[in-house]
Parts: sequence; C-alpha cells; structure tokens
Amino acid sequence: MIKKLQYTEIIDRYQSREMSADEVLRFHNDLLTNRALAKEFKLEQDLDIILRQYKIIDFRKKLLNIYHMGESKKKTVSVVALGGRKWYMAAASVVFLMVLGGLLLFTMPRNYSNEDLFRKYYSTENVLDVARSGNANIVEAVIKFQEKDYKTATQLFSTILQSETDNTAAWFYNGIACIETEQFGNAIKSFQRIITDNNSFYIEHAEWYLGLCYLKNNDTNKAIAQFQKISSESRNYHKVDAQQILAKLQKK
Amino acid sequence: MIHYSDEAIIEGLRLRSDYIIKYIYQEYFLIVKFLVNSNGGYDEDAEDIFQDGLIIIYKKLKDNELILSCSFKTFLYSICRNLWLQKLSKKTALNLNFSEIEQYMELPVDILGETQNEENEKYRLFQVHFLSLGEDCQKVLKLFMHDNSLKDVAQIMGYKTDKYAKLRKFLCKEDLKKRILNDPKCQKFFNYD
Repeated sequence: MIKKLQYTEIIDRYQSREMSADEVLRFHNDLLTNRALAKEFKLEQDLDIILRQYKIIDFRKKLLNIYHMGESKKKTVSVVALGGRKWYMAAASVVFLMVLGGLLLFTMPRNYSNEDLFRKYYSTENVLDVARSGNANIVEAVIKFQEKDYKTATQLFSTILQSETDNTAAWFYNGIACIETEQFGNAIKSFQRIITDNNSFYIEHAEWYLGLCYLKNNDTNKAIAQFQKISSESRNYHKVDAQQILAKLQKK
Repeated sequence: MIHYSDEAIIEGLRLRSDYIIKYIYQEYFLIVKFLVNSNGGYDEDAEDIFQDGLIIIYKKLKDNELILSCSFKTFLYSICRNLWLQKLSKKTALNLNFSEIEQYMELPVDILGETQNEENEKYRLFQVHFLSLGEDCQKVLKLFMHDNSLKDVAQIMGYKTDKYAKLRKFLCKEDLKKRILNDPKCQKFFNYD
C-alpha cells in the first residue's frame, strides 16, 4: 500500500512562519499528541539537515555515479551471436570493406598539411599513463589537467616549477597543458627541458610532443629532424608514428 | 595507470575529484567487498559500507579534522570494517566469527563514534532518494535550503511567479517524502502504522 502524507501543508506553513501565534501553539500541542504528525515533522527536520549538507550530497552523487559507471561497464560486455549463414555473410562483408578501405587508402593521392598531421597524431590519450605523480603539491594541478581545465593547470604547474625545477613530471604535464592552451613556445621549452635533463622515463614522449609542436608551429625542418631522430631509434615508443609522419611530409 | 600517494588521495578527496574517487574504487573497493562477502554480506552491503566509509573520511576532511596515522588503505579498511561489524552486531542471528582480510587499526574515538552513528544508514538512504529526484527538483530544494528568497528561487529557476516557486518546493518536498516513506528500507526510521 502506498503511504500518503497527511501533514505536508501544515508543516510547510509552520516552517514558513505563516501561522498565527494560536496556530503555532496548537501545532506544538499536536506534535505532543499526534504520533503521525510528529513523525512526519521529524522526517522534515532530517531532510532539512541533509539538504543543507550539499557538499556531502554532491560527494554521494559522485560515489554513486562512479560505482554505477563501473557496474554498467561490466554489464555492457555483450556477446553477439550470429547464426549459420548470417555469420559468413557478416564476415564476408567485413573482409570486403577492409579490402575496399585498404585500396582507397593506398591509391588515393593525399597531401597532408602540418596542421592535418598534428591533428592526426596529437593525442593526450595515454599521457596519464606516461606521467606518474605521487607528489601532493602536484595533485591539484594534475586534477585540473585531468578535468581538462588546462589553463588553470598551466598556472599551477608554472608555480610548482618555480620551486621544483627538476620535477620532470610537472614539466611534462605542463608541456601538454601548454599545447592544449596553444602556448606552443612554452610547450617547446618544457619538452626541451626534459630532453636536456635526459630523464629516460619521459624523454621519448617529450621528443614526440616536441616534434608535434614544431609541426604545429610550421617549423617543418625542425619537425623533420625531430621525427628522423625518433624513427632512427630502434626501440622508440613513437618510432612507427614518426616514420608515418615523415613519409607524409615527404609526399608534400 | 597513475599511482597516487596517500597525501594525493587525501587532497583529491578534499577536492571531491572524480579521478581520485575512481582511483579509490579501483584500488580499494575489492578489499571491502571481500571483507563483507566473507562475513555474511552481499555486494550491495559492501557498496553501502564503502560509500559510508568514504563519507566519514570526507566529512572529517571538510572539517579539517583528519589526521592520518597509518596508510590510507588501512584507514579506509578499518572504518569499513567497523561499519560492517556495527551492522552485523544488529543481526543477532549471525554468529560473529569474523574473517579478517587485511591489517586494520584501532580507530580514533571520533572516527569510531562516526562509524557507530545510527544516523549513517538513514542519511544515506535519504540522500539517495534526494538524488533520485529530477534535476529541477533537486535544484529547487537546494536553493531553498540555502536561504534563497522565493523571488531569488523564481528568478534562478526561470519561474514566472514567486507563488509557483513555492508550489514547486512544496511538490518536490512532498515527492521526496513519499519516496522515502514508500521505501521498505526506510520503514524502520518512520513506521506510520
């Protein structure tokens, strides 16, 4: 059975101070004798306490969202069952499309501008896997970075870097945040700094993003030199991408 | 994957950072789930306990009252452990043969008090019901709770009259109360029969 509310209006009038003195007195007396009214009033009071804690509600909301996001991810792993003939037809279609796509890709003439190449190859997708931070000072800046508030992130990283000039992670994040805010000069300085410091963990990525910055700045000769350097290193993480960019630059 | 230090986790929680909360879930939820599952609880119980544990930490952080004297993992686990023990102690039929999963610490008195607070469950359920309201209702109720005048609420929400703002508040509050009253889990707090 659906439970109904009986006293919402009267409680609302009481809380909004719309009652006369006599009505208030009667209301107080009723609270002592009417159990249902007293309970509904207690519920109102509890709700008032809860609703005033908006930061805690917001925090709860995030907890629920993140938990449900994780749960729905688990549930969306689905298996598509294709019966007999349909399976062959689907496979044949996929192969046909792949062959057609491949033919088009390799036969169609294509000139790439530096801007095209930058857009095609610039990605921050794996940046957070690259950079690791356990430093509390850096965390707020990293959070801003992760929230894609790059402008604030660059400001915070600049402050950190004034006192922690050898913080390679901060230089790296700062470089990416500078790219995102189109401060390519500053981005170049950040990546050059990492390369000069010769920090083995970040250096390959710094070299890659430096090349992309040159590309974006239309400094094609420097970009080519940078990508040649990357592609000459047999175990460089970005070797294949650098070779592809060089091939496209040479077609121009 | 990025690895955060305990200091960074605390700072991220203070900022209510989605990334830090996700990280905490990824790193620590399974331990709590295992603890609850190993001691007579379901996944849903583990989720409630985990959330309540994080809310306790967040409240302390918000009031600048949190002093971490062990690792964050041990701290969170110890709080969740206490919350679950507290809940188990109410289930008289259950034999308290508790399986320990992780190292835990004796909680400071104030945190211990929080884990024993009878209101935790009630507030969680009420908050969840509030969050199940439409965005519009949530916003109206929040605005009223922050002492905005009828006129301000009407203006912020784009209502034509103050009277309508008052009506919306009334209807939203009533909707919220009905949801709570008709939730079987809330009956123990407000038994109207």
